[in-house]
Amino acid sequence: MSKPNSNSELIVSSSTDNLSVIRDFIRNAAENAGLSNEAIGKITLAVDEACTNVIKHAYNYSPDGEINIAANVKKSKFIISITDFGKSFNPEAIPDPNLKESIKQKRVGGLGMFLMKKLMDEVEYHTSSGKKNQVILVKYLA
Amino acid sequence: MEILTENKDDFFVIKIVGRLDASTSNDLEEKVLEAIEDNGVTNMLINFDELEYISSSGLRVLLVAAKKLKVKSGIIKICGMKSHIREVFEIAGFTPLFTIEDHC
Repeated sequence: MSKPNSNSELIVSSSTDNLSVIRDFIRNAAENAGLSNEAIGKITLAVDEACTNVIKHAYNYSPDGEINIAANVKKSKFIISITDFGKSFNPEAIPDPNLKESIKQKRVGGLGMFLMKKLMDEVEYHTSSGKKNQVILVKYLA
Repeated sequence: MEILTENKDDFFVIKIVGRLDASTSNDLEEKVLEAIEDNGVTNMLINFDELEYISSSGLRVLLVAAKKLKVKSGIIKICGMKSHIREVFEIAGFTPLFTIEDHC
């Protein structure tokens, strides 16, 4: 069992089959950080959404990509970074979903990102063009 | 995830057992579309008694079902939602889109 200040890391291929492995990893890391069950549920869903977006948008459903998930505790914050090496996308270009409109239209876009913002205290995106994309998710421990 | 279906009291019942995420939501989407588009279902009851987890991939399928049934003036109900799943519905703004019943 890891200690609250230790880092833990998981590297998986970009297949939706790995989402359950990813959720188990995050659940363990969040439990070790002493988070409440409610917070753990929210963090797990947010990480699932981030990784689903990576599989869909960065790797276009190809299972050959790599997703690197790291969790650590720093200054009363539980910080998760999710890194991929696929196509970058501009999260600012994706508006929050409009459910009234979505019920008329075929697709509902941006629901995963909308949930991530609601579930976490901080969500940040970093891209170094053509190299890697990173999503940082933060939950306050207090 | 497992999907069980039955016809009961004018409703086509879909029971989802397990976890509904991006790896399993396609199976549910197939079942839902087959019922509505091929079999002419208009009244659908989704049984969440044994649903342990849902992500936006699952929510999206439910929205597709709601949209398709609305066009047919049909009904979509969800029953047996666990509290942590109801919270996801609330956060996503999905609660007003469905008739939600506590018990199945």
